[in-house]
Amino acid sequence: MSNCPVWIIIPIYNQSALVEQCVESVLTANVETEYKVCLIDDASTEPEISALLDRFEGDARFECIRNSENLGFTRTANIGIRQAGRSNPLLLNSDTIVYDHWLDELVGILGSEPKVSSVTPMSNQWGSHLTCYPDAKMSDVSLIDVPDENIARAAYDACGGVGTAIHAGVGFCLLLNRQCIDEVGQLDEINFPRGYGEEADFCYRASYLGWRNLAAAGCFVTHLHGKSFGSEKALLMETMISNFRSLHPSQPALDLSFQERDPMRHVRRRIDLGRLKQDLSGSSELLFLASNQEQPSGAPFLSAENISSKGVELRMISATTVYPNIGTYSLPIDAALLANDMKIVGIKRLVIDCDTQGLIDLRNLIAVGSELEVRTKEKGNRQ
Amino acid sequence: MNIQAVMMVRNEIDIISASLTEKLGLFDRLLVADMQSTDGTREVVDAYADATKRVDVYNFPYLARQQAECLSCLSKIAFKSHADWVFFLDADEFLKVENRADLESYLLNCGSQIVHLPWINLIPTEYGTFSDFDIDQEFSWTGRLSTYSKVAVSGHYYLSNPDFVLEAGNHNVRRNLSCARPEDVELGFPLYHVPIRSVERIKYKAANSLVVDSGKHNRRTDEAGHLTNLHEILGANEVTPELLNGMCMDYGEKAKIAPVDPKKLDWPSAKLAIPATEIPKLTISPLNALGLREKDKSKSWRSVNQPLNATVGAMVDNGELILLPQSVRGNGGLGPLRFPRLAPGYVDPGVSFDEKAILKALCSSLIRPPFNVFSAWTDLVPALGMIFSTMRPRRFVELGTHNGMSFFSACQFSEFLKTNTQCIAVDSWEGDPHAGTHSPEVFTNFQSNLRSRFPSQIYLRTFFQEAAHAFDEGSIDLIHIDGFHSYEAVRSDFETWLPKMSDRGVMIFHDTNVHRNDFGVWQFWEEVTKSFPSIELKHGHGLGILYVGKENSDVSEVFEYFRTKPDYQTFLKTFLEAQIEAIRIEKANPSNHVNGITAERDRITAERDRITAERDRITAERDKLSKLLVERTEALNMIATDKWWRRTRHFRRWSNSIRKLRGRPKKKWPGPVL
Repeated sequence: MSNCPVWIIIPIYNQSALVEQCVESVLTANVETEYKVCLIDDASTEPEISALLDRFEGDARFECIRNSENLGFTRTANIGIRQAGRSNPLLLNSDTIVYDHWLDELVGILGSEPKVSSVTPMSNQWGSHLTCYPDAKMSDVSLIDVPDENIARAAYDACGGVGTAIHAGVGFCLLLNRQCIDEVGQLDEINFPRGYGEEADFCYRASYLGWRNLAAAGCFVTHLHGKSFGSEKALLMETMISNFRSLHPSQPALDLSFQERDPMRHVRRRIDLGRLKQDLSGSSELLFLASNQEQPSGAPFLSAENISSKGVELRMISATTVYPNIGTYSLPIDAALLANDMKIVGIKRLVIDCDTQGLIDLRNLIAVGSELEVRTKEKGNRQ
Repeated sequence: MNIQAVMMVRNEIDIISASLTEKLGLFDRLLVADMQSTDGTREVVDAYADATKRVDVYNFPYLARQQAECLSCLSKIAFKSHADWVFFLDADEFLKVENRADLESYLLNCGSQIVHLPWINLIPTEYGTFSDFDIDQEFSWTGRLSTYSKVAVSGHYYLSNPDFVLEAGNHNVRRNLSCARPEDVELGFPLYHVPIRSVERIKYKAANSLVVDSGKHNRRTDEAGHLTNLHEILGANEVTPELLNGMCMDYGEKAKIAPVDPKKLDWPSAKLAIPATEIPKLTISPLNALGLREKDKSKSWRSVNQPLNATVGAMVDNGELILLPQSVRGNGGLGPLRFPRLAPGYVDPGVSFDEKAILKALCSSLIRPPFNVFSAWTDLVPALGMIFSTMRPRRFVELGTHNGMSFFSACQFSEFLKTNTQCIAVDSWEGDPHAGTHSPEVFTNFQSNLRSRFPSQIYLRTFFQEAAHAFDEGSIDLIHIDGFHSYEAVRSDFETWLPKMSDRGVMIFHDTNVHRNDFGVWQFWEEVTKSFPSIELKHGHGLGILYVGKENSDVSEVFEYFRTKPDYQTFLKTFLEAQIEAIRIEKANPSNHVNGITAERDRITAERDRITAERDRITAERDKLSKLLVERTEALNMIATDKWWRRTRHFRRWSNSIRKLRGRPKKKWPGPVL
């Protein structure tokens, strides 16, 4: 038993390389919250796991538990939850990598409201079906090619302290509220013995009693998904889904509504902005292409009448491939958004590829009420 | 905010005090229906009623599980006393709220007109005895809400749906009887549910439920299955606390029941917060299940005799809940439970009987209701028109409606002749040996016809004997007796309904002229006409019109008129018989009449649509072609005015010369050949 606020419970079954990577990332990540790591070996067959546990056995920050037989993820996680006593348990899959400030963010969001049952971090494209970045859909291919560490840093910078309500948590990395466990019980070992679905089931049960599940926008955790169960996975998923739907008939409707509302889109946008700030590395100028219906595809000439009657769309060069969630700003509607975004990113001057005559009107569209300076691109630099 | 709860109890002495204490702390008023408890529950409820004046107790003397109907009735009493919310609860259900303020703030903020309260099935740490249970102990539960929920209804919902009906088991409500789908479920706060308190108690409950279920008429096949299931398990196994735990955990669900130890599974715990009460505990001599069952038998129980799927309603009469057949309007709304006495000495001011009235009646008989369901009754429809026109009945009752030919005719005449007659169809729709056993479609067709055409008219789905309870004496002007046609049946119908007739009442009997099989109406008719004024029509299997009202009423005048003028009577009969042929022709040759015209109209409409479509197609084609023409002309002009086209004219000329030399035809170039 321990009094530290968080117990990080890592159920382990083989895959020693991944486990080691995960534990290393937990130890090296720079966090202020006190924590204790609980490694539970679910009767792994690889001898390396045992050696790994031996390595941490004496460490005060660690608690090592060895199951005498294979109990499955849910039962193993429940052992950890019981072991954690009054601490808030954090379930962490062994195929994850965490970064600086991650725990501070999760714990901060847990305490941000009175009845928060669980907190889920953001994750990579194939890591989490509710909180993935940069696209809302899960897929094996990411839209962007950026190191996850940079994304994590951008997320922390741009969205630190932001919690978004989601209808369930995702189990790859899930901070649970001990008080909520007191009220609704632990993970369901009877209906979900092997894992997959048990954490969502817990979150649904909690939500029926008025608890909220939040996503921590400022925390990004890499999940090397799909390596947890191997070939057994497809079958597990299938039985889990049918089981889950009979217990929670509202699940398809909630999932559909989540997809349609896409509440995480603001978070993904903010992370994009955070990355943009990183990439600009202190520069206070940003180049935009202007276009509208009359003058499509970034044509350099926009007449004054055009601008006043049709409005203008501003687009960052190559934004869709590098920052897929930022998109275009259609002025004058998005003027305030543009001003706000530029403030977040730290841009003071917009450089726009258009002629001087249109610029006057453009400046009126953009700069009303904001401190942004608008300039045309130098003639000589025009491509 | 005025929050009330309605509940039904039966022999719940082990929990009733705790339950009432908790509910009185949360609700402004409790309406309790007591199913003739014999174990002291009634005494406890009475003690609370006396002490607080906030508990109303009603006796429910039926061994029938018509709980939903009963509680619906009580809830409407609550709504009429301005309840903002009414909860439908059992004695073993406790609200999971901190206090009254918590409950109020939830209801104020919930934004829904109906709240569904899911069960949290509590597993006791220690089971009690038959009459004693420690409610303050620690319970455990699975951490999963039950899929069953109880409903609470707001006054707003009641105001917009005054005909709402409670689903069996108090799990949901529907807007009205014809609404096929219950309301959507939106979960509110949970209810703690303590279904199993002791072995003896659950055994008693399960055994009782078998008795009670057999007395229910609108029973679904899956209803109360869980108790039957429990009964079997209790009988077949040695009952350990673990087995009871297993029964508790998913109570009401038909999952396989296995022994469970919540301690080992680390399930969450819960405690009921029952406030202390000032009402002294009654000393009730403890009983066991066997003694109680003997005592139950000593009570006098009323019985109800209803057909399957009957709609039953309840009303409060002198502190007792009475089950009655529930009348239903065509639109699915609830009709009145009781039909009141009609004003005596009534004379319709527009009608006095003379030749003018006869002419009017003759004209009425010519009205053909366009809404026809052909049956044995078709030939008699003109006669019914005549009766409606002559006596202008205020309430018309039909015993034996079948598919409703005569009933719908009556509804039509009520509409055409503006008699404002309330028409009530009474039938069990189960059929009899004379009409044949009905298939369920007979009723559903009748129902859908009524809904589409006469939404405010009423039907009563029940047996005639039961239906009679819904009518006060002197409450019917015109009754049509067309039930089972044996002598005894008709005689008993006549005797049952005679007191219900008003002082200008008329009874009409169908099939007075059928002498085959065991039809006995003719025999009864011969007897009854000796003591009452009557007119008999022989056609259409015979229709007997019997006056059973007082002397010197407006209607008795009519019978007197025809008695003194037999020629007129003969003329009338001949006139009506003559119409049979006309009806036959219309029926055989529908093209002469409405059907034909409708078909013709449909044909013409279809033709018009076809022609319109054709026109649109041609117009579109023309537009396309003219556009093409303009394009081509422009292209030609371009070519013709093109500098290079003009300059190459020599090549084209040479080319044609060469073609000519080779004996080929001259080539025509587009545009002017210059």
